[in-house]
Amino acid sequence: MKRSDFALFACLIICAVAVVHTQHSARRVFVDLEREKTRGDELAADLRRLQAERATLAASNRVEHVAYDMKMHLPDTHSIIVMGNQSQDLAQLSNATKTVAIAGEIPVRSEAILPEPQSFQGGVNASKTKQPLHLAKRVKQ
Amino acid sequence: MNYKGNASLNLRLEGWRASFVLILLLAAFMVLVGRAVFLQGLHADFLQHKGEERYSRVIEQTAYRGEVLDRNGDPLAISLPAVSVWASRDDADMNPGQLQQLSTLLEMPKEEINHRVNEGRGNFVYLKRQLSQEVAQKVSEIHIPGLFEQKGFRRSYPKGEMMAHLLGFTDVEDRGQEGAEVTFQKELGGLNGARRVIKDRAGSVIEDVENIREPRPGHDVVLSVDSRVQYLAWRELHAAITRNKAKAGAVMVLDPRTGEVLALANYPDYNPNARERVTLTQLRNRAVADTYEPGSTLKPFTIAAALEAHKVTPATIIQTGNGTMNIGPAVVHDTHPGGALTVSQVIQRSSNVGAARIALSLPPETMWNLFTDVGFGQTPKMGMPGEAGGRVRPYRSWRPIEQATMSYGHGISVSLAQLARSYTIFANEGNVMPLTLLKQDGPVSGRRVISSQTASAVKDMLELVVKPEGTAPLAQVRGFRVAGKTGTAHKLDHGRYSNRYVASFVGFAPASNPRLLIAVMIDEPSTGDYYGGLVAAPVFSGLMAGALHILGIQPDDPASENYASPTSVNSAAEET
Repeated sequence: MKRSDFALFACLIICAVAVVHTQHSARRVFVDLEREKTRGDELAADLRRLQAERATLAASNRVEHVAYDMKMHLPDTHSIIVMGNQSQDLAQLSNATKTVAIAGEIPVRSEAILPEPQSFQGGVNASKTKQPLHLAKRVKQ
Repeated sequence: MNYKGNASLNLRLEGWRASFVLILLLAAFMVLVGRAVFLQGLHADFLQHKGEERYSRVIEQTAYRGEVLDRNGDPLAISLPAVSVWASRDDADMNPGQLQQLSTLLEMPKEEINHRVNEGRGNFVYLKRQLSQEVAQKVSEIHIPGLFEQKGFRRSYPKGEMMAHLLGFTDVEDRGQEGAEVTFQKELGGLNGARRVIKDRAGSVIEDVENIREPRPGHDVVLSVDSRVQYLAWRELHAAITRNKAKAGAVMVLDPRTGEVLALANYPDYNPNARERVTLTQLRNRAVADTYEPGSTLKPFTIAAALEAHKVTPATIIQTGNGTMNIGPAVVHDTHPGGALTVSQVIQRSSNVGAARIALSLPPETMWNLFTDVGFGQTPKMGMPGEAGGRVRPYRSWRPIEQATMSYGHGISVSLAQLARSYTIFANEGNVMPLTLLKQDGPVSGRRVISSQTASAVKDMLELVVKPEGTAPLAQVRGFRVAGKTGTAHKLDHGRYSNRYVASFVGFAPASNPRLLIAVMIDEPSTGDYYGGLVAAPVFSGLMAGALHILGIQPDDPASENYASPTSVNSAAEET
């Protein structure tokens, strides 16, 4: 046999081993990829759950209940100053102990008719029916 | 040992035997080569396929249903991963302890589980669908043979009751059943994908073979609704229903500039997250699906028709006499006799006789045209399921008494959504706006129905309604000019008017540049008060005040002593 034949044969063997090796590592990397994809899906699902939870916790009726319990309320219309950028408005503000209301707030009702807010079921199957409209508790206070 | 002596070793074999063995071996080799060529060359595809079937699997890729968001990006409906537990009837086998655990986890009586697993045809049976992952995890930890899990989704509605009718809900198959979930099913619905993969012995995917179908998640839908305004609407409606011990009610808030629905609330309502015992009454989206006789809220249209036809001006005197008017055998009554009233006062005091007299000065066709132009008798086409179109009879068949009663909203039926929409002509310079549930980014063009002069004249009259001499001083909002009209209609009971009422109020503010239009309807108030001005107007006022504040709209009537002059455009109140 010629020398070059040996060299070619060696090349062939090396190539064959390399193919097997690459195939194997490709599969391993693919498995990793799948695992990361699954993890990504799980994180996306978590994000959704958290978004739902945040939306439930930030629902206006819950915010109002919390505000009510903390004895917060919107200043009545008599003590609200609508401000322009005129100096007289500012002067009026400075000599009065009036509250500045910020647009975007939910005005908390001063009377006591409030439906009970729903609690977030944290992904737990919502099979319990919600309590009926609750009025008595608030009126008692 | 000496073998030389062994005679058998000295046998000389004949030459052909060696050749025969050689040929035999070659032939066998050829058979093997041929078979190999056959298997690997000619028959390869078939075998490859068969082989792959042994370890390749088609796996479904679930696609999320789109989210529903409010106009500020607050999520209103989100799909969460959920798990369905199913049993194979042939394999399911559990001991009493496991059954007890399962029944607790699934919140299902043991008898029902037994019934499901043991009765019925087929091998496959769902035990419970749409469980949360936490519960499903616990179920799998009981290790009951023959019990399997299937992945899916569960729709979560963070705002609960307050958005129930607007959003609707989906069924277990993730298809919209009510409300916006049906309206936007096409956009929201996702399409599951599928791919063929190769799995190893451990069941994990090691290779992608082909992508059969890309999963296509549903698109998010941004509604025109503002969840804060919606909450106020729902709360004020609840408060009014409780205060008046009413049977039902509905509220709708529109942006008269664009026709966007900012809020839509109904009573009775339900919790879309727990629908096991929801009745049809609770499901009913009254604002859209129910029609009623609107009563006096229709008078402004009669007046507008007369103004457009130049039959009257706002100052024209109408004789209402002692508050009764005979038309044939029928009599039209006023609650309070008014004597001589201007057209403006007819609206302000809601005189039936006045409206009837004005109506009878018009050809029926003129009134019918206006009623039809503002959308009565046709569905408002918001896309909500079950939208009602109401009823306006063709003008050719109107008798004078019918024309008279229609002028003050009897003998005609509309839904609250239609009524709210029709009032956009007064709030938007004579243009009727199309209703929409989707957030609009650009300006929306309406359709002109009456001239802006007429619209403005009627608007001025509607502002008088909330003045102390009007029928609805309770609709006032401090700091704002408010325009609106009360309505109190007898309900029809087997074709006769009964002593049960529908109280309503439709109005808008700030009157100088209307930003919000609110329609309120309270069905059968039962604590004695039933006038729209007493029952529905306070709902309007409370809701309007709160909503104007939330949206940071500048007061246009800061006359009251507590308001500093908002002359400057740059107000501290932030526009949202």
